[in-house]
Amino acid sequence: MRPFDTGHEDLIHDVAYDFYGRHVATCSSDQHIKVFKLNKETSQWELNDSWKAHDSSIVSIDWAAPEYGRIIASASYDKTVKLWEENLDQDECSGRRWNKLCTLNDSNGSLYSVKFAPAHMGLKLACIGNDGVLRMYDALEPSDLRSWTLTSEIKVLPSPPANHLQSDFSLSWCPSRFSTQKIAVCVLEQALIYQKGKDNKFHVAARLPGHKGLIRSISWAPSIGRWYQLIATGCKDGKIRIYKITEKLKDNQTSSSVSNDELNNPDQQDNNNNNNNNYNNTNLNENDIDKNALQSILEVELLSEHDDHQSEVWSVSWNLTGTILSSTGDDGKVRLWKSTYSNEFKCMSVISAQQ
Amino acid sequence: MYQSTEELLMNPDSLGFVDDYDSKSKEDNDESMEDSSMEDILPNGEVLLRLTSSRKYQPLKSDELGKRLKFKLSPNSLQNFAYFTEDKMTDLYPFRLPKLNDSPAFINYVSKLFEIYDSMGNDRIYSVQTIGLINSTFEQNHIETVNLAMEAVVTELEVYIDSLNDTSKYSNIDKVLELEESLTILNCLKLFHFTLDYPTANNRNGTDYNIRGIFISGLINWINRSDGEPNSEYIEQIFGISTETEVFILPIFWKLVNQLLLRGLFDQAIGCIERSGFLPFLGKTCKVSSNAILDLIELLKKYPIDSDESSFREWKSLTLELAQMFSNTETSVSGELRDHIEDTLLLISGNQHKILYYSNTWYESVSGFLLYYIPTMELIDEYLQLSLQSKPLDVTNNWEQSCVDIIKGDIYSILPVLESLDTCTAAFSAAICHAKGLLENNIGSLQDVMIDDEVTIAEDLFSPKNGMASYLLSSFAFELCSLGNRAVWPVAIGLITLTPTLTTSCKKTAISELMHHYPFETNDDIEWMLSVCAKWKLPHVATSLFTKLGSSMIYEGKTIEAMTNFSKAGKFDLVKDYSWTLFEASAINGRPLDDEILNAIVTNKENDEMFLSEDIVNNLVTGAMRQTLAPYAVLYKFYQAKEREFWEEALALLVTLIEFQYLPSYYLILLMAKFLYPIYLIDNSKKVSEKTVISVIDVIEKRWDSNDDKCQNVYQAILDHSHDTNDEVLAKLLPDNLDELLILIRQKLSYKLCQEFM
Repeated sequence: MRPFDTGHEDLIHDVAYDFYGRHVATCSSDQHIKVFKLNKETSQWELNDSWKAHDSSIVSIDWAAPEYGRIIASASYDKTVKLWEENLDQDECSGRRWNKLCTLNDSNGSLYSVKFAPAHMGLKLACIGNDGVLRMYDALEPSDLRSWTLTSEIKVLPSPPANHLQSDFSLSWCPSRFSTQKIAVCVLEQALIYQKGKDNKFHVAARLPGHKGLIRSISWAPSIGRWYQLIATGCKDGKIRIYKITEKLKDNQTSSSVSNDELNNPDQQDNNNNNNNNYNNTNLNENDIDKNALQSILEVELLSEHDDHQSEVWSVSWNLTGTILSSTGDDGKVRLWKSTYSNEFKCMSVISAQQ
Repeated sequence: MYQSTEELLMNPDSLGFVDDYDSKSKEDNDESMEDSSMEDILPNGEVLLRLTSSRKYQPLKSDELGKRLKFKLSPNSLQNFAYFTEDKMTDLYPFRLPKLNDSPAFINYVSKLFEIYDSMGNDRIYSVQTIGLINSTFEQNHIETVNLAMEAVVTELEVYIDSLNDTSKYSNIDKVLELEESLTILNCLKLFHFTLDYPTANNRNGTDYNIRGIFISGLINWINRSDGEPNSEYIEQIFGISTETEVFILPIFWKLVNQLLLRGLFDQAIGCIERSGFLPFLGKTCKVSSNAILDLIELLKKYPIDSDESSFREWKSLTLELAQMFSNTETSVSGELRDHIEDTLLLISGNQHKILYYSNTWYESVSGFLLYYIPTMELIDEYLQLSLQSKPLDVTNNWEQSCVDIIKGDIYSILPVLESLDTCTAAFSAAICHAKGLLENNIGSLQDVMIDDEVTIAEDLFSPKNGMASYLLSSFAFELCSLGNRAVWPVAIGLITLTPTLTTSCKKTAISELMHHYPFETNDDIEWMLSVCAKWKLPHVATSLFTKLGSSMIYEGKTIEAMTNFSKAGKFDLVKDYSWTLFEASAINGRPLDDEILNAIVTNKENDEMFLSEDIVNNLVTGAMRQTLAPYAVLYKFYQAKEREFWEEALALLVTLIEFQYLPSYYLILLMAKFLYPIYLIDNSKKVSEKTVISVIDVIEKRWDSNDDKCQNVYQAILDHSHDTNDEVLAKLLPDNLDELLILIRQKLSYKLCQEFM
């Protein structure tokens, strides 16, 4: 298969597929969004439209579930999230094919990530940026997509990171409809799972330990056919980590091996890590966790840790069924990981981008 | 007499081997050649691939590091993207996951294997009857069914390989080689585990199986298809070595003849001897040797492939007799030539030493033992041990170790190998092995003794407790679902349905999650999807489907059809919202919408022009729609009355709408500004009853809100529309804002009240 030029005039930051993988949207530092459509006959990607969408670099893009229409959300360093809807009455490649539905401008810092929640949670999105605040918005009137309400605002970082430091933020929703609403949030070198509690608010439910650098990417695996969840992270420390998350009802708490100490004192385990990092001023105050608000507790197990890239890991991504994980690194290679019969993740293929 | 090598040899083409590249095709297929050389195996066993099909498209220089490379897996495994977050690197690199296939030939192969597995019925599960009425033929019938299923799988694999060879052979060369290895493993598996236990009588089909015949044919087929040796070029080389010396003088010739004999290629061995001119030579030089060779040829022609064991014993005694006689007789030929003849005679009489000596590989030795020594499985371990001691297995290919494992009875270890070659073949083969009882059988035995944790684990489709076959079947089903090809979905869902698991709830949850991703396109797809939802009781999947359908129809402008689907999805808020949207669009335009379906629905009339029968309308209109479209129906009647200038009737209908308790306040503004004020209040000739005036005043008092954003938006839309359509009358009548309009309406209502009083 041959590569094709997107036509972007600056860095491409994010690429997102629609629900069926028939369209792909790209966003760039050139402040443009481009949408490509897969021609089924030729298996070629064709430009659907391209338009200037923000006043600064666009760093994250996502598609809403098809139940809600053809909608894209984009997040930018200009501190806004914008929502776009395809207008079939406009010609393709006219620059007017996608109409802006609304602009969400509550953030006080550059935004890094925007993700729509899975369809069963309703038309909802979450975003996070440099101000360290996780915001969730809901379209409360399904037929009026211009009207979005800020339904949740969670201060994940006590204070924003210093401007001179490198920072990264990412999000990934739990896609399972058979599980309580959850979202994995990465801020700098911390990865947390927020879960909807009895009070309909999101609370920290678990923490993914072990990261020794900025978390560059997080991906929550579809859990089709599995009774547990899998989350993968890609980290600046050169490692891919795969976590197994088991949800247990609180009544069974004694029979599970959930470590409350770990929830309360996450830094204890990573004490050594934090001794040398530059983010001590941004450590999370886990003592604020209201465990009583949660209906279930999460057991987190680091299933495997791989340093095959031997360099900074840039992205992790699961396939449709959560059976294959991809990872990329500074080594110029894509690695494909698959779980074996004995439930171990093994690298099945290495794809080299080098000549 | 055989005149050429072509006649001498088995036809390798008929066995489906892939042709080697010739230099011309290499040039012609430069890119596909690059494709085929894409794979490399790293020292740790990982497969190394290039991101692009050609080295020239690779984005990074050799050993270039430090670039922000990213990769996104698509819902469609054939269309993933790699990209760089780097300056001047704005290309997307499409990449399909390795070893995935969505060709028509593959889909046909998958469908055929699924049919075979599905048709096994209850025989998909291995069970030993221990209680209840034990049927004596049950086990025999089960064995027969499972063996036939394995045979059918092998046949389908052969057909699939042939179809790949028939089409674009060069682009498929890697795949064909992998399938050939799979076939060799399956041929071996079938030979040693799905052949010898065929019931000989009283079977379901009434067929009396010739087990020895099936076994020997299978043996010959297995080893000859495995490597295609000796190949035609090699044979031609032997016959062309020297024109000065007769070929039969050469030891290599006899090595070849004996190799053919070890492989059960009797006709080919006879052909070689005949083509060599050995018989005419012996006819002139040695009558004894000539007779021995003629007897050898006769014996080979009568090798009892299809006969019973007693025939083999008779045949073997004749070979021993011939070998003995030749050894004890003086001949005119001497030295090496006599030794060659004697070796060949000893080999076919089952001499262990000669069998091992003339075998190039361990499997030729095994074949030699089974063909000429004692054809029994009781000695197979010994045969294998002797063969491997003499000729170690080749670890550079996948199939030899697997075949050794199969002969030793270790089926588990071959499954990962099969999976690495072809997931489809591996899954169905494992399933049939499971049915044969060759793999573990947790199903049933564990169900009764599961404790809490085990119950949870059993809820996992991939739980080890469900067994290796279940794991491979489920994995393959998932792989099919990620191909983005809806044609394979019925097979995928069928596979999950048939997968042997401890509980069915794990299947239900898996199917319910998967079905959300079914890439439906046609009405047939939707029907199939709904049938799966009905079978597995998955209402939320059907809800999601109808919502998606409704949403896509909104984009196509099919609002009524969209509302029908939203109704079926239970999205009544959406049905209500879109009904009001239709109402608003009509009211702002001041006339019925140009939608014949909608108007047929609200008038309950059949539309002959559009062939809208009552049935069609009834199918489209749900109960929720009848309710939510009621305001539009009243508005439609209002238009009709107005058209006919039945002003009183029209006013009554309008007031009905204004008084409607669920009428949103912004539509009160719409009705007042668009109809009541310009048609009735301004026109002094049109009377409005006191009761009506009081009623309208009451509604205004309760619900008029000039400050409400939506009310203002609606009013602005009316003003804009009047300007856009050059409705100067209305434009002049309506003031700029709602407060002023309210004052005017109040004044006019007062006047109407006075008029009525006067």
